[in-house]
Amino acid sequence: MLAAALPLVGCGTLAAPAGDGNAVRPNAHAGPFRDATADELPDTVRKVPYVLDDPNANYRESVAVDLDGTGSLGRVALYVVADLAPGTGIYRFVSAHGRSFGKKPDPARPVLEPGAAWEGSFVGRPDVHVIGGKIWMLYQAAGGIGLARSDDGRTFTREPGPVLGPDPAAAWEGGKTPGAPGLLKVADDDFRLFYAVDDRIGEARSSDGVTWKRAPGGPLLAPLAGSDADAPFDSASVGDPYALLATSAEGRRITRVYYAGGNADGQRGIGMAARFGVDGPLTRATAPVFPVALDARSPTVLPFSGFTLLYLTQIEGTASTQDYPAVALGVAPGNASIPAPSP
Amino acid sequence: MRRAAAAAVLLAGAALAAPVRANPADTFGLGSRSTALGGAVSADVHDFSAGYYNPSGLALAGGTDLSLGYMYVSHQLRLNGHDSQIDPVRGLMGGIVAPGSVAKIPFAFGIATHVPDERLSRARTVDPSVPVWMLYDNRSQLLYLTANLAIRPFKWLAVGGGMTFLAATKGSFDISGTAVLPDTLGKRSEYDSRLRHEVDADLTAVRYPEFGVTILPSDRFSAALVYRGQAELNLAIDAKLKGKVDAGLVTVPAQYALESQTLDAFIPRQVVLGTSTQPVERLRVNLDVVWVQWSAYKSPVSYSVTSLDVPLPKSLLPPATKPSARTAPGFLDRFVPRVGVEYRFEPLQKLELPVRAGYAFERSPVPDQTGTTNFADTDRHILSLGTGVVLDHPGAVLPGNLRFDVDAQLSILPTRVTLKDSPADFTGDYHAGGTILAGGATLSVGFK
Repeated sequence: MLAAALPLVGCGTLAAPAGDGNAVRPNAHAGPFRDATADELPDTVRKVPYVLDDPNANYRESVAVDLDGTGSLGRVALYVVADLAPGTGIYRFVSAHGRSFGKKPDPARPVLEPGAAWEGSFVGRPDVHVIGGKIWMLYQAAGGIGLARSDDGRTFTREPGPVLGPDPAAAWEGGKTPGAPGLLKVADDDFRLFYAVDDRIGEARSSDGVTWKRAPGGPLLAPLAGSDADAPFDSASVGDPYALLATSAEGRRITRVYYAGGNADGQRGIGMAARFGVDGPLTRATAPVFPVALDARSPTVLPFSGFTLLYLTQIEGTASTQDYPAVALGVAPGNASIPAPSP
Repeated sequence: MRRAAAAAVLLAGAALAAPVRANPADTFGLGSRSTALGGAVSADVHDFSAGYYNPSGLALAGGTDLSLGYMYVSHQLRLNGHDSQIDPVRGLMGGIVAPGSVAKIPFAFGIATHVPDERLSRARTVDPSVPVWMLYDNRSQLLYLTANLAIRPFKWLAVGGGMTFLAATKGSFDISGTAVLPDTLGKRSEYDSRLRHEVDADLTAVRYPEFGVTILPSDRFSAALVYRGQAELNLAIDAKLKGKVDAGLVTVPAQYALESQTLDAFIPRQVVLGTSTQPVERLRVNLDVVWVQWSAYKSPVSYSVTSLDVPLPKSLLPPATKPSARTAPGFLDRFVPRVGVEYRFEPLQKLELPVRAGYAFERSPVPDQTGTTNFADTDRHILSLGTGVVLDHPGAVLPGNLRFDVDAQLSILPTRVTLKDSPADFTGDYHAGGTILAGGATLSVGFK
């Protein structure tokens, strides 16, 4: 009877523990995600499930990039805003197996710091992708969303001005500055930019990734309505979009947008919304894809053969000494087993 | 701490589904002769299997009849190309027919049973986001027993009825004590937890009635009408966790309660109309049409109500969950045509070699699973073959007959594609199909 009761742990709301579940859930790789386990994180010094943490560095607004692109988990670069000795900026860390990053960034200096007048005093919320052999970084600054490109991921050349700034003509944005970019390359001449304004997510389109035109209409994704006593996790804000393309088991193309949501009670989690094809409105998943707690933000989703990794930033823990942001790792499907890193 | 709260929410949010459970005779047949004839025997059954196909057939037996057999069913069902790994159905089957007479009115009593040789019963719930073969996974893993009585008040009329019994399980569990959250330094492990479990499980019985009438206007034609009642068993699980969560620096009391109800077994109501014709000597052609009331099937998804009491800031707890919603699965009634043909060769006096073939078509009662439910099912074509040996008066000891029958059954389930309405569905699109292979043998002894 206990064996009959144990499957109660499996739930459509959150990922089930490893060892159960069915591999034929076709969208299992899209979520929900579970915490990475100690066996999957080779660095035993850090608290599970964190891959980069330091109470003084305040690692936040991270994005991960698969450097190998082979489908197998190998080298992963993490671009993250940090408060390190050279100064606050966007730093780059590299892991040979994507699951633990050393405390020393590569290079030692920030790869991007405020430099142009339109950027003001900060740059953050990086979104990094490998496009055409180059490293593209979109980032948020005081005057809007900027674009910087690099051949090696360490030295970037930025566009002179924002590629997407405030637009008074966009009624729902209220003239506010867009931020938190999420880039999606659909084809060589078709790019989509998901961005956050006023706790909502909008979309813009481009044929070259540099010149953008906002999609007509209102926001693509807005906070979900709910009663005060039963507020969904994303009933107050949605932001930090991260998009990728997928194909269903029956060949239907799907655009998935992962995002960070929050409600009035201070609960935050990672959600997912999707659409068939590359155009049209998004439909929300029925539940968050990662546990709603610890101020989850900035999701990055990297699919590999057999599993998908979710990188995100959240506070280190519930104790007062753990109230600082760090980069955590999630795994989907729940019964996936990540191979041990090669020695 | 967050993990403990999240784990509790896992239980809180549980909306689990249970594969539909039914008797194995419903799905794969009972007795080798009846199975080989595609189950089209309501108007042509007079051995122990009449207890399922038509209780009035017991009164048509020539004398006391004992049967014992074995069946084995192997599933090759696939979801998106992956083997669904459904357990085989296997076990002993058999029964007895005991005729007599009261006031010169012939009557008969019969018992038929299927006894699984692995387990008497099994309850299993599954994650509703995982497609499950609702009509096959775990469906026939239970004990089946039927007892019936039949009379033949006139030569052209037989009437019978009785009850069928299915075994099912229910239970509850309580957990109390202190759960230890492990740390990354290896100083504390979850195995340091001090928990006490109490599990209470009962084996219960589900009963439903069946009735049958057979009309025999001539030796070469008979017709039958059969009714099988509906039955369902609700599985109630109550869980209580009351104790403490030890996170090292702090120990937090926690209380969690779950009440869950699931429809564990469901036998749909059935009405059978059948005929049996003997156009020429030794040839028999049978036709049955079965109406199955699947529309009465309630949601297999469990209904659960939960409460969680952990003294943590609300921002560290997941959002409150609502009682799980159960919507009717929308299963559809269906008509199942069955046809069977039997020819009895007689190479020697007192020796018969019957050859049998059958076909049945079961349209899937499951509607397109475009929403959040994932009840995998497709149409089913059932092809059956069988043969046997009948020895009449095999010896002075046995004034009746000795029969040995074998059957083979192939079910073809054409691939069915499911396309989800929501692109964000956690399950996603899938296709399902496969085959089911079954075989059996029955040894019968008839006394006249």
